[in-house]
Amino acid sequence: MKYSRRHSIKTLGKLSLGSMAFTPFMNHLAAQRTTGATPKRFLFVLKSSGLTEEHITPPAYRPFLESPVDKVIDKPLQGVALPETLTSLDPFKDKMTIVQRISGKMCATGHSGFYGALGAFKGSNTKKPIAHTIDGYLAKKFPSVFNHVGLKTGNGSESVAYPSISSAGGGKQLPYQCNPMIAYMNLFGSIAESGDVQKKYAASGNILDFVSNDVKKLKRQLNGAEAEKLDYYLEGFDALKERRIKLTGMQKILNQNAPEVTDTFTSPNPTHHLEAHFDLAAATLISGLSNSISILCDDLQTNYDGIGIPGTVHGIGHGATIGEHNSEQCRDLIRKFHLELLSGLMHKLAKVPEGDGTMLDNTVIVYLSDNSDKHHSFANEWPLLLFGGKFNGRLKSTGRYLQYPDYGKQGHRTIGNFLTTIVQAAGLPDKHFGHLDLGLSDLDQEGPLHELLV
Amino acid sequence: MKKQVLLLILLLPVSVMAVDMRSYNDLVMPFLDKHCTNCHDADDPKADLDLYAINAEFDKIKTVRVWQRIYEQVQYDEMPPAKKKRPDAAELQKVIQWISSELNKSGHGTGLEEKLLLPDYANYMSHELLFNGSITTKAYTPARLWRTRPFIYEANFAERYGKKPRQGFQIGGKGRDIVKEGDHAGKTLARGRSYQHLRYANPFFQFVHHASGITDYSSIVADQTSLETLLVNAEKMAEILTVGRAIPVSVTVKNDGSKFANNPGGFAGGAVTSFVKNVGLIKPAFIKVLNSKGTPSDADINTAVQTCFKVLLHRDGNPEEVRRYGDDLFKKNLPQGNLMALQSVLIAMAISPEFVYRLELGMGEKDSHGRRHLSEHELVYALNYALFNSPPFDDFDHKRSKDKNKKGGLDSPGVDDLLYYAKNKISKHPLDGVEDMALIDETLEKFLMTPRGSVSGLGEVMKAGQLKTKEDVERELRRLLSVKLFTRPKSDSRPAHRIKNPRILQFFREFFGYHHAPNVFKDEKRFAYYSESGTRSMVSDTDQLILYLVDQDENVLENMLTTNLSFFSTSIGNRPLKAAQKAQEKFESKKITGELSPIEKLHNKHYSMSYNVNPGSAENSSKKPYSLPKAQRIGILTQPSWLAAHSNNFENDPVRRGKWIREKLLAGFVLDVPINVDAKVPEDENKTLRERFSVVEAEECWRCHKKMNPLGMPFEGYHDSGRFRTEEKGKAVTTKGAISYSGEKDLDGEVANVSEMMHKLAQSKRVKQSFVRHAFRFFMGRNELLSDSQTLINAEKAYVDSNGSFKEMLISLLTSDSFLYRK
Repeated sequence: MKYSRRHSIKTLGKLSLGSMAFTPFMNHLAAQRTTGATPKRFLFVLKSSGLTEEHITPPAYRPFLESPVDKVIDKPLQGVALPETLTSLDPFKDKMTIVQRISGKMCATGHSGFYGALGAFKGSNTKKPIAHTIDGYLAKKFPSVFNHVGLKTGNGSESVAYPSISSAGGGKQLPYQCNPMIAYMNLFGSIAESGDVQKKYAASGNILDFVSNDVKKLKRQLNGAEAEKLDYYLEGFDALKERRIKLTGMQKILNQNAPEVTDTFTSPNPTHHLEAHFDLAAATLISGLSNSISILCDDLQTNYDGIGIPGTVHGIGHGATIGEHNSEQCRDLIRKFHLELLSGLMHKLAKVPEGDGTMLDNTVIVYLSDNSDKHHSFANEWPLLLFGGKFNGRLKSTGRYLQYPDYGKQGHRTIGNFLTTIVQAAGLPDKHFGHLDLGLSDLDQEGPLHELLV
Repeated sequence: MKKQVLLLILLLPVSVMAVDMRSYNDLVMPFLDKHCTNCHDADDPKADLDLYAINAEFDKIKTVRVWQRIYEQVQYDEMPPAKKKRPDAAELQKVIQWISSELNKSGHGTGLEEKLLLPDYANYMSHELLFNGSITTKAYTPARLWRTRPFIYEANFAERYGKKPRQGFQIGGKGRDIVKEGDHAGKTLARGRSYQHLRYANPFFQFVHHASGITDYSSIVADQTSLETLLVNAEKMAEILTVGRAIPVSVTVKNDGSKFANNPGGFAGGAVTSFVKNVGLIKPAFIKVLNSKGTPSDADINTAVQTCFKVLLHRDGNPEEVRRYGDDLFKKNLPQGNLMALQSVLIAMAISPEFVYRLELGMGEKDSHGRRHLSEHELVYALNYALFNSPPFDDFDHKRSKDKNKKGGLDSPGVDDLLYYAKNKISKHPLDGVEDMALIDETLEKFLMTPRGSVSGLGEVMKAGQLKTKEDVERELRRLLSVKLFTRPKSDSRPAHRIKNPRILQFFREFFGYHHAPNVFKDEKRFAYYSESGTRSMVSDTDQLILYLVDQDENVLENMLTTNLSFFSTSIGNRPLKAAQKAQEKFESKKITGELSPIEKLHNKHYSMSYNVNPGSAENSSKKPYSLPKAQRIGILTQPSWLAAHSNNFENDPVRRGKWIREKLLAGFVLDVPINVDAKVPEDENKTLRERFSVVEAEECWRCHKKMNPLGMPFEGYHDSGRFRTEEKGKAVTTKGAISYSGEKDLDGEVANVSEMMHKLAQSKRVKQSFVRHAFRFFMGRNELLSDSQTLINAEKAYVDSNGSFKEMLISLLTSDSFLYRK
């Protein structure tokens, strides 16, 4: 087996624990003040069962969807009404782009594109990912206390899930936390600890050292793959120790920004969990605990009882009528709910001043489905919403409707191009993100969506 | 011809240093010469492959591509063609390994080494070599770690530390226990539950190797996420054991003299009406180190550390371990206070490799073949967890409470404990200040024992020194396997992992895969009788059939493949029945004709229709299986649960069914789906599925599909709901198929229907061997190596000699050298 291992944090290892534990952590906000660098944050919000073009197109622009298009359609959002389910986003219209008719046929199709939505490659829930997805990649490039935070709804008792959506690299699937209470404990738990956190975390540093020595000793007794197996466990020790030291120094900022734990956190209802997840995500971004967050709003088994839709997303995807609502109405209600939560999060970020503007100006947010446009998809179209404004001075997501030429036509673009746009807007040099569509070999497929970059 | 090959070899550039030229010359070239170059020659090379032009320049991409092609062809047994003489199995294996290794070196690896660790690819190992007896190497399992499975962690940790406390105790009311002393003597006391359901995060997620269905394998790792969760849990645990967990207790006392009788929290006399109880602490065991001023003595520290060992790892620490935990952990953390120093010892143990992994290093005696026997302590876990999910030891000690009426323990403290706490407002523990170790031990037992002792009793056996040898293992296995497994569950609330010997049922579930039926969503409009709850009943039915056949323990596999017996329920809930009866009266009074009556409608909605059984016409018995028509039900593969689990949302899935037979029964394999294949069967409302599937007969598809479709097509005799049918789209359904490329000549050939196919398979030696291989994987937690050949041969023999006893086969596997030795 090939195992890759995180480099141990050598500098930390050399310091004595006592001196480390009480060194105040220069959180990244403070660091930016000295370096002058603009912070960059990323949030990906995914839903299952597809997101169709009609769902997110302003009524005034619907005619564009009807006839074949062979040129990029670029229209302003100012002055046109958003679809009813998007009205909560009105205040953020000037930062928004509706991106239409990019394809994703290099990804798996069917019920889910799995890693494809964020990775532009063929993934499966039965195989290890072959590469990183964009959230995992950006997490590496813009690390913080928690490099990547994944949050997902699940059934009540479930905690960590591996939904095959995010990856930190070949074979390295990223986990999602389903239980908001455990997520809270992981992220903000240090301020809720009884007793002296510094003392406690100093002790835990000793414990982690002690046990990692034991693990290394055991490793020497084993051969080959068996020894390498322990590397997966070992790499957790350094990372965890480092994290705890940082958290100790962040008590003030965490106390200021921790979300209020309401009964949505402990409710048995998945929709309440989703509310809690958005609260957690906002607080995590604001306190600087992470710069890359992915929220998976639902999966095919999710039940939206909490907003009056007792039935699974899968059933709705297959046209089930639930109570008084037909399946389209159900889908509308669900999407409206997601976007209201997202809007709430954006309002929070917009209230925090940062640089010349607010925190929202330095955050890229994408709302899309893990499964392109339909419940059973072919990935000819992958409609999505982008929020970023002038992010980093490189992006031009300033209230636009962008529709690319149809699949196969000159100028047609893919989900890979879209992801490349974000990567390049973040200032990274990658020429292209993800795989190419072999069916489009006569088109130039590489590079970003130039319309969106400065 | 040979000269040409030789010349090519001599002309090879010296720069390819890494290539193992010796094998290339002595092994690979002669092999190609013997089996391939007749057709793939320079004059008229078949498939455009001229093997005379081949070389070992693995630094050239062109060469790499050619070797990749060769590798695929020989690895997947595509070449030499079926009608040609088969290469020698051992020789073939070596050639495959050489190509794979050279491709790896060149950076164009086949991933073979990695794949060979995964159950999905275990069939890559030559079946012939494993069973032809040519390998006599002494079997062993490489020294290894096996990650704790989620169920084991739950049993070890969650039961005790993972629950959410709730207000639970009530003193008062009309309970059975008379209060003997204290303020409320003579009154009655009732106990409630002290915890709500489990609230904890399991650090070890259930990993499913989808193709094989296996969920627990020693190749699965614990990672950073596991550590994070383990640490959070361990901190909670340490707090519970040293400080206790606060549980609010409300007190209600029925006081005959009070007009406020039975008034929660309001009884007369101003007595304490509620208090907080600290549950779970074993403070007495730690009293000395916790109460000492300054550094505790070494002896006290050692006692505390030993207690931690007993509580968490169920063994005594050796002197070196005790010293290290004392010096490097306890003393080092003393500046943070005695309590934190002690907690750090507990936390460290609960995230130590021993807690996370089952360590199977082979700590027992070494034999003349360089193998080491499992030590007693390794063996007790290996054997226990082969059959059970719960720990081999009683929660703290193997001794059971002497007072049988008093369940005692952590979850439900006894009356005395409660009263003591009530009286003393938990300010002190009865044993505070006690220094007698024996008394401390006794208290430990009292406070640690949970109502659930060890299921297997193996911990006790080991402690008595009776779990050392192969004979010991066999004796214990016979004891444990003598239990009858069959139980008719009352409802779905009895999950498979909670029954006796849950691992046996789990093996059959993972082998057959029928338990995935509820995961296959089907539009309920298609079949009135099909629902998600129905699929759960189907799974439960098949569970029962499996357990029933295992209990019979005769020709187990053959029966599982051919039996026409089946369990199912025909019961209908009272409410819907009454409603239908009421409607029926109206229906009859109105004399409506031409439509189904309410009762008929109700029957048509029943899940037993998947078995072609009308619930109105069948009696319901839960103790014995029913006999269904032999043409309709032929073994587990015709159980509705299996058929539904191996179907897709809208129709049958002959490919997956065929693949299942290829892999599980014939020990064969199919190439991974090529990355550029977008496998879709064209929609056509007028055609049967078989007709629509004709597209895969195109050459490039058939290359793989020939190994699946002919095996899967006979199941077209069923709807994807599992119901037997004779027609599809108004046409008589065609059920013919074929067994081919099986590796057993007599087995190959066309079959008219499922019945013929299953009976043929049930008689096959290869199928039995394939079954043995799969059982090996499940119970050993790894893929079979060539050196396991003798283990497999013996297990097959044990099965055959015992007239098809699954238990004898299992005993053979679990007493084999593969199970007992490490190297």
